[in-house]
Amino acid sequence: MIVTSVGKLLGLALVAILLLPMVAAAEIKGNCIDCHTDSAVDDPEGFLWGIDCVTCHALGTDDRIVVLPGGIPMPQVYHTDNRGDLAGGNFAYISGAKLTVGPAGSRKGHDVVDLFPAGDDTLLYPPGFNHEDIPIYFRGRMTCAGTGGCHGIRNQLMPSPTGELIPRVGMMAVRGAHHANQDGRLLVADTVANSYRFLMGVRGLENPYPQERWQNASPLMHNEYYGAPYRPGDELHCSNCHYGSNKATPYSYIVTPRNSMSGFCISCHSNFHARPHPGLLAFFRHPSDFVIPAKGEYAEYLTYELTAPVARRWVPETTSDLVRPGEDLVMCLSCHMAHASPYDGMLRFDYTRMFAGSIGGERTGCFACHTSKGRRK
Amino acid sequence: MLKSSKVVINFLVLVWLSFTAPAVGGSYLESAHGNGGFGANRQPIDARYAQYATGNCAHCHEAHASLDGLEPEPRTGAAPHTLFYPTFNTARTQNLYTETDNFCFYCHGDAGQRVINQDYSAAFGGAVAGSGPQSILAAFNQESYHNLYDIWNFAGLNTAYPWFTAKSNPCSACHNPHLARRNWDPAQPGFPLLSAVSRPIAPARLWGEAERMSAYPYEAPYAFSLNREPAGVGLPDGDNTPDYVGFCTECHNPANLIWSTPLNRNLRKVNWGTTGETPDKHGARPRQGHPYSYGTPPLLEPYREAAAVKTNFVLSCLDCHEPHGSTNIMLLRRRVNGGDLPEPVSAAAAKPLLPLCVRCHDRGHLNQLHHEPGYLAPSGECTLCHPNGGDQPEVVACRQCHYHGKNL
Repeated sequence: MIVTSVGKLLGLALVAILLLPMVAAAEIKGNCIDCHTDSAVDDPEGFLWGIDCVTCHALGTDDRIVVLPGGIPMPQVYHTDNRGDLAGGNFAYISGAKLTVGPAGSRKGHDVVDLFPAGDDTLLYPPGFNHEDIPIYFRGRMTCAGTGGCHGIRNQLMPSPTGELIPRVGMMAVRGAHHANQDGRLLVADTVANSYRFLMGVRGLENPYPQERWQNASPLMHNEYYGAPYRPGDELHCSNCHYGSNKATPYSYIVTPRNSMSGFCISCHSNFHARPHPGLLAFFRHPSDFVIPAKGEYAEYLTYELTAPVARRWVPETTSDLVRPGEDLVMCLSCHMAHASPYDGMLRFDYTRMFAGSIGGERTGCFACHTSKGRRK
Repeated sequence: MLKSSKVVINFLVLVWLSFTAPAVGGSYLESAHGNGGFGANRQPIDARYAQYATGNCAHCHEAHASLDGLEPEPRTGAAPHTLFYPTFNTARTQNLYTETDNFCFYCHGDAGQRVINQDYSAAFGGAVAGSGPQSILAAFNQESYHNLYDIWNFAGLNTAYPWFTAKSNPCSACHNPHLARRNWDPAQPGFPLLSAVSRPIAPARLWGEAERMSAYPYEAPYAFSLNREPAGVGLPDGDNTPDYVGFCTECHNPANLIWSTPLNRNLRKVNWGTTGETPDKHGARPRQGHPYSYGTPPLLEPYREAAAVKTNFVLSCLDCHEPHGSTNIMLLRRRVNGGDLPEPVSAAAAKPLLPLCVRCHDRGHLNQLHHEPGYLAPSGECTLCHPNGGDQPEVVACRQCHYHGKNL
C-alpha cells in the first residue's frame, strides 16, 4: 500500500514537473521505467534501479551517445566510438579500451573509483592539491559526483535523512538534477540542475546545436566556457572554496570560486595556478582564467582552435568561432580534457612531441596561443 | 663630413629599426633552444624528460611543475616566468658564480646538459678550440666579466626597458631565449651572421643579421693566417660581421652611467661617434694623421694596407673585447687580429695594455710616434710619459692616456 501511494505521488510529481514553464529546460524525457522502479523495495533510496552514474553514462559500447528505448539520450563518458569523443573526453583512455599515445593508465585522466576501483596507481591526492598536510576523506577516492568528485553537490560530508553526516556520492549528489535540468545558457548556477554540466556553481553555455549536444564538434559548434579574469587581490584563500567550516572540521560546503570553469578546477588543483606576485609581472605557473593579451604573438590567436578552447568573460548567447585576444581567457580546459584524453596529463595534444616546426603543429596546442613559437617568421 | 653623415644615418636607421620592429618577430623554430636536434633538453637534469621532444617548452618551463605528482628536478618550487628554477640570484653581486645563481647556467654551465660555448677568441678569433673557457658559466668566472648583477640593475632601472622587471634574468638583456640562434656552427646556413643577441630596446627581434659592420668604415681583423674574422670566413669590409657597435652602444654610450660593482666605480663612457665629449680614437672619430712618420708604417696588417684606401677605421667592440668574460682585465680578448696576446693584460703589469695595442699597432712606430715633434700636447713635455725624466727609460702605461673617454 505504501509502495503504491509513493508511486502515485511520484507520478504526480513528474506530471507537475513537466507542466512547469520551459526556461531553457532540458529535463530528462522518456520512459520513467528506464530509470525508476515503482517499488521502494527495489531501491528505497531513490526509486532507481540501483543505478549510479556509470550505469548509464559508461556503457562501454561503440556509441558516444546511447539512446534508450524510451528516447532518452545518454552521453557516454566511456565508450569505443572511433568517430570521436564528447567534449569532456573519454575514460576509455585510462583503461586502454581506446587507443592511447603511450601506455594507458592514470596519467590519461581522472581515474574515478566508479570505473577504476583500484584508484590512482600513483597519486594519493589531486596534483596541485594544497591540503596534503591534513587528512582528507576522499584520499584515493576520486569519484564522479559528490564528495571527492566533480558533478553534483560536492560538500565534504552531508546530513543523511537520519541526520548522520555521511559522504554523499553518486546519484545522491545529483538528486533531482536530471528532472530539473536546464540546458543551454546557464547564468545562475546556484543549483546542480542550473549549473553547467551539473558542475555545481559553474556557469557556461552548453553546446546548443541539437545534433552536436555534449560535444566540441567544430570551431563554431562547441561549448562556451565561462572565465572570470584575475584581479589583483584575488589570491586564493579558504573561503574561495569552503563555506561553513574551518580548518579543523572537514564539514563544509564546497563552492566554485567565481563560478568559472577554471575556478572549479582550482578547488582541487589550486597550487597549479599560483597568481603572479603583484608588481612582478611574471607568472610562476601557467596562467589560467587570465585574459589572453591583445598584443605580441597572442594577438594572432583569432580563430577558435579545438585543441585550445578559450573561456569567455560573459556567458554568450550563442557559440562563436572567433577568439578575441584582450577579451577571451586561457583556462584549464584550454589544454586539458575534463575526463580523460589519449595523452599524458589528460592534455588535448601530445605535449611530449610538441616542438617548434612539428608537422601540423603550427597552430595547435601550445602554439595556438604562442603563435610565434611554432612557425617560421 | 661624409663620414660623420654616414654615422648619423646609421644611427637614425638603428633608431628607426628599433621603433618599427614588429611586436612579434624571429622564430623559436629557428632558435638554438627550439631546434629539434640540438635544442633545449632537460634530460640530464631529470631523466623523465627523455620522453619530451628536444626543444619542447617543458625543458625550461613548468606549467604546473608536476610529473606524477612530483615537481621535476631541480625541485625549487614555483619560479618566475614558469621556469624550472629562479631566474637570477640577486645576492650574487660579483663572481664567482655557481650553477644555482642563474637559470641559464643549468645548461650553460659545467654540469647538467653541458653546452659547449667557447669564448669569442676561439669561436670567431682563431684561437685553438678548447683553449679557453668551455661554458658561459666558466667565461663569467674569469678575471673580468660582464657583471650580471650590474646588468640586472641597469636594465631594471632603465625606463626604456619596461619589459625587464625585478624577476628578469640579466642574460635576457642581451639574449632572447626564444630567438637566439646558434651562431658558432659553420654547418648552419647563414653562418656566421646567425645572431644570438637582441637589443634591450627591441627584445623581440634579433640584432646583427641585417645589421653589419660593413655599414661603417670597418676592416675585419685576421682570425688565423690571412683569413678574417669571424671564424676565418669574414669579409674584409665586415659584411659578414654583425654590427656589435650598434649593439653594445645601446648601453655603453656617452649618455649612460653604468655602475660596476667589481670596479667600484662607474664604467667609462664610450663615445663611438664623432661629436660630443671625447670621441674615441677607435670609433668614428677621424683618424689623426701621422702616416709613416719616421718611415715606419703605423699599423700592422690588415690595417696597414687598408689604410691606403680607407681614411678611417671604426672598430667592432668585439675586435678587442669578449662579451662574457676574459682572463684579461676589462674583458679584453686573449687573441686579437690573428694572434694570441704576447702576455696577459693584467692590472699588475707595468704596461697593462701594451700586449693588446701591439696586435694592431707597430711597436717600433709607437715609440717613434710619441717622440714626433708636435704630437704630444703640450709639445715637449717629456715627463708626461717619462715620470723620472725624459732621459730615463721608465714609461707610463698606455692606459694612462688611452682609454674610453680619454684619448689623447
